[in-house]
Amino acid sequence: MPENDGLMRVFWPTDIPRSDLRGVVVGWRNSALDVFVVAVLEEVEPRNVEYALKIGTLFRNAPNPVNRIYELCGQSSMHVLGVSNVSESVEVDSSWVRVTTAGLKTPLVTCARASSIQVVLFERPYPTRMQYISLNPIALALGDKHRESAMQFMNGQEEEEERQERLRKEKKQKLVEKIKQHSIIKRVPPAKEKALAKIVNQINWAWELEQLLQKNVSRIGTRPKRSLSVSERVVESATTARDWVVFWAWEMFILYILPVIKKAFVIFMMVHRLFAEMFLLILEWRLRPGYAALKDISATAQQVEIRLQQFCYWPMQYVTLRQRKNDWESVTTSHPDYIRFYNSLWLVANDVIIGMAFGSYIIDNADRVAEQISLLLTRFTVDALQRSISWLMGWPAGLKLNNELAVFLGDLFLWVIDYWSSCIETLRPALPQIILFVGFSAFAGASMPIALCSDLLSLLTVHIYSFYLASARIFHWQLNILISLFHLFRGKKHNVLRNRIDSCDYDLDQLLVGTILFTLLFFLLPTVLVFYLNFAVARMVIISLKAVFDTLLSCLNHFPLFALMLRVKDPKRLPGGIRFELRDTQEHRPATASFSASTQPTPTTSVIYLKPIPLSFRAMFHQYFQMASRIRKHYLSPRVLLCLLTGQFVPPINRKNLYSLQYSMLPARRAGIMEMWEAVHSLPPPRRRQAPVYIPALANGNGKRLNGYGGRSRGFG
Amino acid sequence: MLTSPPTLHVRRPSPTTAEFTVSTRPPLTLPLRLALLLVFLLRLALGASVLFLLYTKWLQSPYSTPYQLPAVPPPFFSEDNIFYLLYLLTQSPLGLSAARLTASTPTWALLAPSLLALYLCILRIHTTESLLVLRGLGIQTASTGDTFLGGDRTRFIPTEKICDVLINEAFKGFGAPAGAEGGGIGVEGS
Repeated sequence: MPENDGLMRVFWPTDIPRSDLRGVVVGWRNSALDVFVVAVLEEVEPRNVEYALKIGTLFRNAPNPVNRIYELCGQSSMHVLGVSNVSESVEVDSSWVRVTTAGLKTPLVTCARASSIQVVLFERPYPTRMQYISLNPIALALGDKHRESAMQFMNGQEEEEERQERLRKEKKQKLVEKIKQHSIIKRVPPAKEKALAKIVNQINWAWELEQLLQKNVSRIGTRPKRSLSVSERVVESATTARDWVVFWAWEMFILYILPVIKKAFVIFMMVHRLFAEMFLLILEWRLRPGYAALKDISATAQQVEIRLQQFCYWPMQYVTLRQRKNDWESVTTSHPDYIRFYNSLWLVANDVIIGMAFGSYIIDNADRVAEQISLLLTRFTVDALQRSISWLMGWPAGLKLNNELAVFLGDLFLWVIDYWSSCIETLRPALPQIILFVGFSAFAGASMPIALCSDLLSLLTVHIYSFYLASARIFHWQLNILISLFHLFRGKKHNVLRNRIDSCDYDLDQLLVGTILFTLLFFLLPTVLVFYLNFAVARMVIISLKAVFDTLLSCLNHFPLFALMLRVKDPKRLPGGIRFELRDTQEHRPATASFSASTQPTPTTSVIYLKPIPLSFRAMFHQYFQMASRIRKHYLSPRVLLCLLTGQFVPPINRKNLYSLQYSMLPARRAGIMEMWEAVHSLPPPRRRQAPVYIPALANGNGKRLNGYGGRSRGFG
Repeated sequence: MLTSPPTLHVRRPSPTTAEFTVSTRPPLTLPLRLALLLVFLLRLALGASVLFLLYTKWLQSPYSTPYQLPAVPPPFFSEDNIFYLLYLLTQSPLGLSAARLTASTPTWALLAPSLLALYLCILRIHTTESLLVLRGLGIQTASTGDTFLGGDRTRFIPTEKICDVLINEAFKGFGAPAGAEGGGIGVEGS
């Protein structure tokens, strides 16, 4: 299809000032009939505007390099696109558009070359408020690339669920490749179709560019402007005398006091960073590669590690954000970083606030809390177990178990419980101190006592864990023996080499002894089974308790609080994509007819509205859904049930599921100490404020006045 | 009566832009408008009465604080007035009978049907799905959500990303009923 199919596309901002005056439409020309309107400059000659664009008068006094605009908007220069509110009699270039805005809701666009026109209306996002639009939803988590490398970095092997996920993704990719091979016509997309990414950038730049152009409009052509008279100047300097004093004081502060404060802060931070590095090395130390590190075992260690990692990451994030201030406001690449940075800051602050309330409660009531906890401990981890074992020893629920074996097993476990309870008794006097310690740890954030509780829970129920292991082992052995004896009973055996069941000729005595043993073991099985079930249930309860603690921790560490607040306050700051809406064009058809009744027929026009859609709540909590589905897949799978039934060890909740959430907030590799030092020192010096009064040169006709606010209108945070 | 079988509606202001809308909403005539208004009022009444029932149940729980009757009625446009009016409502015969009803039902038996009723109140009556084809830009799909709380589900597919468009027809009995065609759009890299 030729480049020119008569379809013209005009992107028009709805919120540019609209008037009846004649004007020049300025903007980007993405391809011959694909134009993007940035501004309408009023009461100027098109010829002069073109000249001014060529020599760059319109970009005079730009706060930042102008080349950056061209680079990001994907065009080498701006063009005059047409004229507005000009009568039909005036001759214009055939590729120019004629726009009528006077008295119309949507602008009426005509062009000599176009046979049909799409007018795409959009509302400009305000870059000063950090609004922007994007084709893809904003990523609240760091990219997938980081995370995958983090996974490999942690340990080589991957989990079953992750492997399946990866396989599914690969399969889908293959399918897409296959679909591509099936397309019959290889069609080269015209420039108009490829321009969308560029256009999104141009929309993001539209507001700032229009401001710049409108500021410089007065420089075009010769427009006499009266300079200030002497009396006016006197008034101005009198009113700005106060500003001068403030300016001088500010200068003094910047020059002498600020560097000292800054230096002290940087040194303090570096010392802190050194200690953090030391702790992190301890937490990450592994006896041998592939072994568990301290942070993999203990929730507290992991919590400390998360906080330290965050601390290491903050300066780097802050430096990135500061560099944003030295660029145009419309550069949107660091906005997700901004949200991530303040989200983590806010979460930590929240954590500390909640922790203080929690901690002060615990400290005030340490004795009572300790009493309660020791009561709970004896009741649930000692008494309840003892009672359930004694129950199992004496024909539970009418089941007729083997008395001798039940008494033997029960006594065995009861001895260990007795020993354990005496251990707990020796621990009891120290309990208030431990509770106090937990209480004071809460001042480092509410997540700390929760992590400590989780660790204490696993420490204080270590006997249940070992009972579970022992009984599961016994049960598993017995089950295995029973299965092989059952094969013997049928005259078969398991061929290990081929991994199948072969028939086998046993001797009579072998068969006899095997059958007798099979019967014996089979009658003993229920007794072992009930003991195993008892401990398995206790173990499952503890695992689910720990899962609750872990969920609480992940909520405190990764809740998208800042993003939620932004979603309520200003949804345009969290773009989730774009949508197009078709508007009815009926309403301004009559106007069309009256406007150009005599001349050429107006092309058919469709009015389309481009709207940003905010990020959906579902997408915000995507990480949580992912985690929940992973945990569900891990624990509610048939594999786990099979493990439980056959007495194999059920792998506990693996911390990697939480890690995937954690690494979505932190980079895979933390920046080194020297890197941080360099980053902190690479910060640009603070922008000097301009003197409040511009002392004009002698009046010479077109004297220009600066508005004295060179760099002050920025800095939104 | 409130809904109709899905009907197709096409808008094509220019040859390069077309919007296809399939909706179960019949054209808005005066009787239909009145019926919709009636349904809306019924739902509002249902929702309000369910909320009121729950409120009376809350008043019976030990966690709520009893209302102190002020000496003079509060001014009409004030926050206190809301509680005052609620109090008057709970003391009316209607409120008293509601309180008797809630006192005799356990919380779970009250909560489950009320949540169901509230869900019914926010359910949308009509479904509308639309497909907007823009030459040079892409395809925009939109469909209304199930409830009034959820917004439209939209998806924009740029032309660049479209590999192929596949239209799939469904059979019902011996014919292809209107609105049973499903379209599939192959999208690169999703």
